[in-house]
Amino acid sequence: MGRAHRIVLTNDNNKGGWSAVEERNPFFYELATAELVRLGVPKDRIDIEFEPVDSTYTEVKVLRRYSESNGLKSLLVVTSAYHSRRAWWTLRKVFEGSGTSLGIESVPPGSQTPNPATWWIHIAGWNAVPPEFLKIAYYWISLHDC
Amino acid sequence: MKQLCVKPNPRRGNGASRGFILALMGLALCLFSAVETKADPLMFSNVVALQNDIRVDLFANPGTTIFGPQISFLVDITGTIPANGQLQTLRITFAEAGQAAIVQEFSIPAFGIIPPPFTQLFTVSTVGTNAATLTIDILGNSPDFSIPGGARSGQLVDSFTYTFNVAEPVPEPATLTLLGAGLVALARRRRRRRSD
Repeated sequence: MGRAHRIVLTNDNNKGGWSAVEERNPFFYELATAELVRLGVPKDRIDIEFEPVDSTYTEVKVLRRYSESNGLKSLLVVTSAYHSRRAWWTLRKVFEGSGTSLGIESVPPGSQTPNPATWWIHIAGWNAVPPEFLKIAYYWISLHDC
Repeated sequence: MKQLCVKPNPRRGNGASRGFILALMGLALCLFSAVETKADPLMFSNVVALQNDIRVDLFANPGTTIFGPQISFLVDITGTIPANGQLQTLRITFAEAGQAAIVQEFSIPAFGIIPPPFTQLFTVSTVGTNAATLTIDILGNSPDFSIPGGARSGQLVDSFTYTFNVAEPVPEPATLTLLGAGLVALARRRRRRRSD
């Protein structure tokens, strides 16, 4: 609470489960917006970047563009714990020379993502951990000289 | 003779001033009701297609070609919800030549808690290279669109249909080169195996 003046949401163009209120499958950014408003965040403090993103890299590029056009001095990225290492590395790489101070806050595992000690006994853990290591290797090779 | 003295009541005023006050009150009531009826109606505007970080204005570019197979659009919703508080519906109808129309509906306010102004995203899938139309309508609201330019600029209408073409994205030269190189390599390998 009170950590930032604005909240920026990106759009991965994916839809979540059925919403009885909307009678459709809303986009994840819409679900996030509704949840934030429900939690008391004023609607005009939520900015949405609609350009579809399909990877951490494109997402961070969209964030850099947003940051430049809005003259941001600092940015705090919130993501899952499993994604935080790659997100942080990509963030620093893409924002290099921007002058924006960066931070990352990961959501503790255990509720939406499996516990670190027992990830290997959950399907969600196998979906999150091994691909993440592969992606880290891929990002390290492809972005290393950027 | 007893003198009748009537002390004017400063709080009561005479008939003329009472009439004046009533007239003022009436005027205020008229103004208030005029303001109430002039509350911004629900309108949509700025319909754009998202194309590789570029926003293509569909009104300013009629007949333009939008590349699929999945196309994202944005529409701005402004105005106030009618006083009866009923949920309003934004209806999107995407029609591609030779295909069944795709209809999507969105409630206003979104999720029952997010009132306008807001921007609504919607996506449609296309199947080929065709002429297409996109009709946007806020059901039960008329008018709901102000024509932003051209000969009918400023005219208020109920719903609006945008016309454009949809096409499959053309593969990039680099992709084609890679694909070609892969095919050549495969053909060579096969040839070698045969000759061995």
